[in-house]
Amino acid sequence: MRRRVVWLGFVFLAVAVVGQGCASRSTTRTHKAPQADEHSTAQQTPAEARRREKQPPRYATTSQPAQSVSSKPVNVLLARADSELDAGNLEQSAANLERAIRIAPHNAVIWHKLARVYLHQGELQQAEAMAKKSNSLATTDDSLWANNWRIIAEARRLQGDTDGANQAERRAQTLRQDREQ
Amino acid sequence: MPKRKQPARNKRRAPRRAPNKRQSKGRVRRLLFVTVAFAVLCSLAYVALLNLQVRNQFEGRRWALPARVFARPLEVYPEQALSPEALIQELKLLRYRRSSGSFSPGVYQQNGNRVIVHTRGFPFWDGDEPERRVRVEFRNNVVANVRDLKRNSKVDLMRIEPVPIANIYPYHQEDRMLVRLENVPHLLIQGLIAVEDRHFYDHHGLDFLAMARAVLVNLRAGRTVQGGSTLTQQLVKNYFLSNERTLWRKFNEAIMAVLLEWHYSKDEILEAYINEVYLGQDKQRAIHGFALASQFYFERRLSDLAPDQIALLVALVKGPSYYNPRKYSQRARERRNLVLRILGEQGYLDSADVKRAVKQRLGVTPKAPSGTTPFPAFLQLVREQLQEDYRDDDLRSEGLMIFTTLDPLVQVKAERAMKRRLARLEKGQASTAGELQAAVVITRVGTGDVVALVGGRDPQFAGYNRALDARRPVGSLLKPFVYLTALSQPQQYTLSTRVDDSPLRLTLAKDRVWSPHNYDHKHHGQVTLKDALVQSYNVATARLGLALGIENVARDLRHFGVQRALPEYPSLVLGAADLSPFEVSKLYQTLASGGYRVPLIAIREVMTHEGELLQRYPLRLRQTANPAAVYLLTVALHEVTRYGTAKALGNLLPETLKVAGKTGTTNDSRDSWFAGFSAEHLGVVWVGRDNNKPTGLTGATGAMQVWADIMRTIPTASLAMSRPENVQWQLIDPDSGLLADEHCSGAEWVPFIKGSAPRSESSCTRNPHTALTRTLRWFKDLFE
Repeated sequence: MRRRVVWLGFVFLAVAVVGQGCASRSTTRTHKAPQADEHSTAQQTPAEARRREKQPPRYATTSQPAQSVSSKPVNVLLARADSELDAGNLEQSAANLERAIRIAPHNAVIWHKLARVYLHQGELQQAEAMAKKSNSLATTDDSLWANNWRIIAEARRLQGDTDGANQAERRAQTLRQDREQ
Repeated sequence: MPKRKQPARNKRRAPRRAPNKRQSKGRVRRLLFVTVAFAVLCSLAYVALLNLQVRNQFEGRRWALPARVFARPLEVYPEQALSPEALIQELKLLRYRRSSGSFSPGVYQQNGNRVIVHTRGFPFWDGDEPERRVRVEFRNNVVANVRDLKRNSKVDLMRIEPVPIANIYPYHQEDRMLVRLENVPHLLIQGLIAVEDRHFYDHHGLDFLAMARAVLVNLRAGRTVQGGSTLTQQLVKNYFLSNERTLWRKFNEAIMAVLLEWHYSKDEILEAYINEVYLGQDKQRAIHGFALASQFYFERRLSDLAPDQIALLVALVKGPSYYNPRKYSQRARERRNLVLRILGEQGYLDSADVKRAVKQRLGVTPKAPSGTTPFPAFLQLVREQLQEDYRDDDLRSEGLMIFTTLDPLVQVKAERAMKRRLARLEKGQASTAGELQAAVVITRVGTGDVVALVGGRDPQFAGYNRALDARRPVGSLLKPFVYLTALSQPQQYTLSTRVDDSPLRLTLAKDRVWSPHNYDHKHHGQVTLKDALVQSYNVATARLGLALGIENVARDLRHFGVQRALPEYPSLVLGAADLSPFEVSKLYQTLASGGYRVPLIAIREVMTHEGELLQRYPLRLRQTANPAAVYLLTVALHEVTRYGTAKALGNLLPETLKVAGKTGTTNDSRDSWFAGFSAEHLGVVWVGRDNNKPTGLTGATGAMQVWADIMRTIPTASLAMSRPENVQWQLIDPDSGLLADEHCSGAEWVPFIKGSAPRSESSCTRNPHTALTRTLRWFKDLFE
């Protein structure tokens, strides 16, 4: 009899303890999936606003260019830039690309092509900077990513920085998502 | 033999005396000759020097095609954020006129959301833009489509010709409006000669009769009443603009006048005179030349003036201040009528015309019009950038075309918003009535183009350019850079790192104690780095700055773009440094571009008159900050606008426009600052008083209001960043700073550079594994 009482007591205790452990979770109910910050947040407290977000804020995790502008005008200019580059008119090519940047400043492809022009012009530091800028805007485009690193590698090689060039080559070969792990 | 010598000696002595005299006379003559020759040589050398001087002046200011300065060309393409009103505004700036049915270049027609325009085309150096007749359809202030009506095809991209905003005569510091002699009204020339130098065509630089007459008249009158200078002499006087009227100066001018006549023709001299003569003063701007004077007094072209108006201008030559028609109308009128009578006497006007003309009122506009450009503040920046790359000689090639970055639509909106908001702010407090001033700089985020520059409350006035030249303490505007230095060391600082906001007393050298206060005079204990920036806590920032090392902060500031020497005292982190709004823009441009220093440019290219590219100002980047650190900082700066010192923006901007920014207020509210950016534009605004008295405004109640007024009216894109590969967002429990999950109350998403995020979980997480651990721990505690 006594053993049974002790057993029961233990079970009771265990349940109480585990129950107490579970009970220390937050009593707030999770809200519906948030509608991105479109609702008026001016009236909420900061804590309330943050509680609603199930994901990091969208403005800081975009996967597309900031301006959802038609790619048509940009494509027109990119095509012109390419043909000017092929014809050896580097300044003209760059001018068309800069015109495109004014229309779509967060388009990674334009910055990449500008990097290429600078590489052709022998402006090696600018080529690297533009390629890096392109990468900071290219979120999911792996081939663009790789091409940018190849430009950086070439620019470093031409400056005599073989170690840096090799590093850049290696990065060109790894995919961004793999490096994220 | 010796006997004979004596008489011979005697004989010889006598004649020897004569040569002595002749010899001494000869010596004197030689000496005289040498002296005279030397004097003549010196004079010749001197004259040669004067010759050089006067020729330099003449050649330098010679009539030349001015450099034409253009604003940016407006691009038009489908899905562009552009309203029909904005397009029409641009067309009006280009002097397009409304169609009366037909179309030709320079004509437009609006029908609600549809605008048909016949553009003029423009020979851009990077691609000729043809003349086109297009129909632009809008929907919700966005371009829906563009159709070429003549070729019946869709247009994917087109540029309208750029708005001309100024003419620059590079050799001149001031504005000029130069005219060719053949375009000057005959009456003006006739009047000028009749009144100022009647024998202009006869003399060779000096008119001795006139001089003699003047001397007599002046002697009789007891003072200077009449001048005997020729137009040539007056031209020389104008070149050197010296106020001293010494005899020596007059002597020099006389020689130079003769030299001028020797080198140049009468017509050339006359043309130079007409473009050079001093005719008035507009505060700090001197009015030279009849064409500019015509604009200045009558707001008319020289060729459109009536005889009485021409006579007034001629009358002013004698003394533009003394005969200022806006101040001394009676005097001015009398002298004008004198000129009219002389014109009549000389037969250039018939008596009926003279009678009619003398009865006319002066006809000057009551207020002096703006200078020759509607955007003098921006033009100053253009000049400065030109001077960096060009010497005066280079710019002398005629008819250069300078393409700038100015966006007239943004500029006009910025000016209007500033003026309106300042007026409203002053209504709120009588103490500042009429005294509040402001400066605005708007740039493009990607390229560093300066699209708008407002130098003061009266933008048309080419005076003190506060945007470029007013250096004021920047207050909290420097704080983000202190935090950037910290965040660039992720092993030591993250956005969640705790900083101490409790009272701080620092003993500086010589027993001086520095004890910074927060704006709310409270202390907040241990706060996160993020909150310290978002709420702009001074004390926490001061501690952070000291921990980082003030010299490191200063070094980083220089790296990020501050070229001015900074005072390396602890108070630097709280903004005890004087910068101009333009310099602040340079700093913040690095943040807005994601960590890349982009030079701010006002000029894109310079073309020759023939359409060839002379110089291009290409886009240049330099990575100066860790892009991941800048990303973290920008997230914090966005929160400033949602939960921090700039949260009032929530009521001022549309929900869909997300921005990042920082307020700045200096001691006693003398300076009100705001710097903020969207995905497309960076804006820096300063509000204050020129006499540096308190304004009663904070960054949020002053400058930020102007900033918001501008940002919500210009089409701009909402902040949108892509996450760098080495940044991860974590859900953090604000109380413990540890990892949380969505079940923790008040948990917030915080970005971290890889490897710097906290590893342990907060006790608020609902993790069964943790519950068990906690249970076991509870047991353990029981038995301890």
